[in-house]
Amino acid sequence: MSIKEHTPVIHNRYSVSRLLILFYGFVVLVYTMWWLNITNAGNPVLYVLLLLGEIYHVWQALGYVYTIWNQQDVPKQSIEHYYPVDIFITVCGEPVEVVEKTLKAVFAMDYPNKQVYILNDGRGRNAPGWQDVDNLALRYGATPITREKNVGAKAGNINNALRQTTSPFVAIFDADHAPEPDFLTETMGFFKDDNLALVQTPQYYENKDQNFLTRSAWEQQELFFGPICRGKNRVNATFWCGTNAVVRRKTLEQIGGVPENNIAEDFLGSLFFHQHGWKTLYVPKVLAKGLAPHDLGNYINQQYRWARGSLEVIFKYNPLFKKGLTWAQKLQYLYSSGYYLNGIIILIDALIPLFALTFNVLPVKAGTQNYMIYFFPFIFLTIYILLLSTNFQITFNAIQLSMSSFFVFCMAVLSTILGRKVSFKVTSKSQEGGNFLKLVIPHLVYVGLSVIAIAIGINRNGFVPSVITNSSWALFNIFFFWGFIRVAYPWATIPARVAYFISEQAYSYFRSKVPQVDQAASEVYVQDENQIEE
Amino acid sequence: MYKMKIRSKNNYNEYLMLILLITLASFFRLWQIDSESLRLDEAQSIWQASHTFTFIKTHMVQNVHLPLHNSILHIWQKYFGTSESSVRLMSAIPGILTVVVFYFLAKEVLIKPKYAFFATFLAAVSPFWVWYSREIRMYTLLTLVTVCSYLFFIRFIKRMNTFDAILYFVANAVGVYTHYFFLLVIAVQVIFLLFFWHKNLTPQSKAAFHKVLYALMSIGAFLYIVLLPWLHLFYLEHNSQSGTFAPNLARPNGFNVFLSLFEFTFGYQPEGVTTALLALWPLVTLLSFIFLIKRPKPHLPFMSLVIIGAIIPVIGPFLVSVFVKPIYLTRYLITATPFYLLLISWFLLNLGKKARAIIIPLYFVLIGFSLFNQFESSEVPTKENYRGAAVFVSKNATPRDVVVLSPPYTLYPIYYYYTGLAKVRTLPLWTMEPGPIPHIQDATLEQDFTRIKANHQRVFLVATLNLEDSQKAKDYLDSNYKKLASYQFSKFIWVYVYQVGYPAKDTYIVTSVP
Repeated sequence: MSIKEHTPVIHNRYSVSRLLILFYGFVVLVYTMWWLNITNAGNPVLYVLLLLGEIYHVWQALGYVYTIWNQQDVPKQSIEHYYPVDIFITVCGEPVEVVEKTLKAVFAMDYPNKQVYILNDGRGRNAPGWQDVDNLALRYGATPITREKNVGAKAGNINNALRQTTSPFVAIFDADHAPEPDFLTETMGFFKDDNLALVQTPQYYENKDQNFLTRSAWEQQELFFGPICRGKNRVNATFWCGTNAVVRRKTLEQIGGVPENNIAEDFLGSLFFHQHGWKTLYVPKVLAKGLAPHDLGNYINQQYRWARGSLEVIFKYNPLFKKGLTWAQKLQYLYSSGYYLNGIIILIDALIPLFALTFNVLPVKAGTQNYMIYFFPFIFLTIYILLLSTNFQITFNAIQLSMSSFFVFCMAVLSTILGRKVSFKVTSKSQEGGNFLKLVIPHLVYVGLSVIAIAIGINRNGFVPSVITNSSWALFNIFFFWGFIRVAYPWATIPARVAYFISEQAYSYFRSKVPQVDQAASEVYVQDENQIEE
Repeated sequence: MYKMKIRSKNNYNEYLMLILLITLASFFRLWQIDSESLRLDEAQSIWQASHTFTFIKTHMVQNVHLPLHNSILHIWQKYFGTSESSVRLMSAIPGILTVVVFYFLAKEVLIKPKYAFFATFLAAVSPFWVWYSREIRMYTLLTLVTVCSYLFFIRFIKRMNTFDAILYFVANAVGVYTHYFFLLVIAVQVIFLLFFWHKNLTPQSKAAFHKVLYALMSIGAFLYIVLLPWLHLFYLEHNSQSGTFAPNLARPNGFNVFLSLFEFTFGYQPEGVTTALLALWPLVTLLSFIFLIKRPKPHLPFMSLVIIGAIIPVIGPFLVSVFVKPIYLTRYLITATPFYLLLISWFLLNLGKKARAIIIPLYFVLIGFSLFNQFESSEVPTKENYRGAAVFVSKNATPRDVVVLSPPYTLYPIYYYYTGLAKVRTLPLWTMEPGPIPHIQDATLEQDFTRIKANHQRVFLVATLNLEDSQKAKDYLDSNYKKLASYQFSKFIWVYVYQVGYPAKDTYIVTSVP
């Protein structure tokens, strides 16, 4: 079955009424004014922290509606000239069978003028069986480009290949992203516009139904490759997402190759394209199928990589101060990379109720009434617009997973500011057992702290409204953090493990109590063995 | 034959379930129906209904309500008397019938019978519906005609059946003479037809849609004719500048909307419980996340009707209250509750397996607790124990004392229960004459009170502190006379005893304490 048969949603555009967006803007304004009214302030430190958090939420909410304000259709362009295209498949230790699948798909692409290269970084990484990938390439008629050292990681790998190839266009795929036969015929037609640097297509996860994590990761992608990317087209702010894209070689040369000093080389590269006045385009058609991270370790590493790279753009290449970008592009870059600051905000929001319960201090003096008047319309409309813009495709799991990732994003912020590298290494043993409890220590600590804080709050004040509300917030956060906890360990196996443990213990106990039975059993066994020998 | 057998077995099960639910609904609506005192509004209804039809008509046109309910009550009282249980039965019966009709409405909307049973169960135990089924006011009749109107509306546009059209017309005719807010039900139906229903139509069914539209427009024209005499009266009355009995309502804020939704769900609760449950609002936010996000787009054909039917009767009056004139009271919004209950049922039943296993029992526990609390707690602010206060003053006030009521219109419940020998007066002075009810004027207060106390020794002030003027009267007496005692009968109803003349030895002490 073709992937197009079961993934039609991303093609469609689901506009949100502008009247509703304007009304939402009014609600946001009222909500912001309420927060900025400092007569509401309780404890000044907590109030300021919470206020910062709310300003962030408002920024992201407004950024979203600004993005989806006018989503444009992208009509297919016929190909007038079949320019030569170099196809790069970047490999860094992936299993041969995964690479082979991609290679097959690349050769099946319906385009006459293409040259296929496998950019094998397995050697530099000393990955087992890296030579097999080179052999595979040769077997299929592709050209392996293999480096001894992985200088500049993926960006360095691509730059190395660029130096050895010549076609005016380069299509880039990760080793686990297999294109559809019409990938190039659907994308190359747009390059009749000489100012176009990049055509990006969605990253569809073929394994999305494998488990909770892959499903939720795909739902996050649906939001990004749905209304967000379609909206970015309007202001020419589409950015390169590393794979499933075609790039004009000249543009890469103009920016000095793919930036090697950033983990999110694609994101930064796009920023440089735009600085040089190039156009980029997002084509909302699923034209390649890839694999989602299927376990927590891989998911966290992916999220960390994206977060770190995007945050570096804020801290090192702040788009606000970059010449050549339009204001709309600056805002879009800031909005997209700013998303990863939400780890800090979630952490603040999560800790404040615990502070309030433990130390009996409140950030805001306003009562439940005011929260209901100002907060509910804001949150309700935010979710509703999110839903409308995705045609009710986004689910609770996707948001749960985003919020659960808070500590990964916090680590990314810290490591970006300190210029340190952080890695979430997962031992192979844990991967086999599916035990990622180490990665959810922050979440488990939060659960523990919440229990203590709620106990302290109730013990000191009883069931007064402030204790009930703050306890509810703590439960609210735990519910969201549960997204990670649930996939960190195979909890469902616990009853079976406990039962096994108990039966083992019982067996040992009875064995020690009735040795004669055991002895008798052994004798029977020996006798039987003798009979067999006879 | 086999199919017929299965069908009859299914029907049998359906009827059995329905009977069980009716029994449950009847129990909550009828059990100790006279245990609570009549509330002010109830006593006023009984008083109005004890007059002639002409009086009822004239009185109601000056009021904010329509005459049908009190006219029926007039006939009812003639045959069944005016005891608390008798008059309240007239509310309980439509209350029970509403649950029955609601089942058929739920079946039309939610399609699956088991979903309809679940929704009907929620309706049977709904604290809000139970409350109004035990109160002799027009709200259960209004709910019943609302449910009937929606049911026959849906059936008619589905099947184009003349019988359904007639029933729809009858329900609406009763509705428009029961409460002005019933017009919102018709508004919801019009909005649904014009803005939502046509979206579902195929080219073939568009012709049928036009037929439905013409038929409904004809029904609308007939309804207008039915309502015309009343509109004429209403026009004459409100052009005559003779004043109205309309209550002065406070302008609502956004919180009132949430409070209404809370009351739709949990009924009337003591302030402490309401505050505690409202303090759980972050979890409500979480539920709204789940509600909005963890589900596919609603595809039931009448779901948009359910959604707008639950929203418009709340938001409409709210907006009018904010921008034009306050008309917002939770009980006026009862026409939103049938669809509100359907939405809650739909939400609970569409939760994931695990969430359902947690949230539904939790919801039932909360509803059970609310229902119990609503019955048992004397702290429920809407409970008005005028019976206790009237019996108390009947026993303790002697002919040398005077009973003073403030505000004046609390005369209705006190007259119903009072059997004492002391004179009963109101502050400010009022004798139920037609026209607007007077308010305390600072300039004439002393003069009024001097007339009231005359040569009496003690004043028994029956105060309803959440109503206008009551606090003012109390403050005046507190600052000018010696307070001998104070007694609380419900959240806002107090009796204060003041010494206003030279005491006789034997009248110092109140003989019976509530």
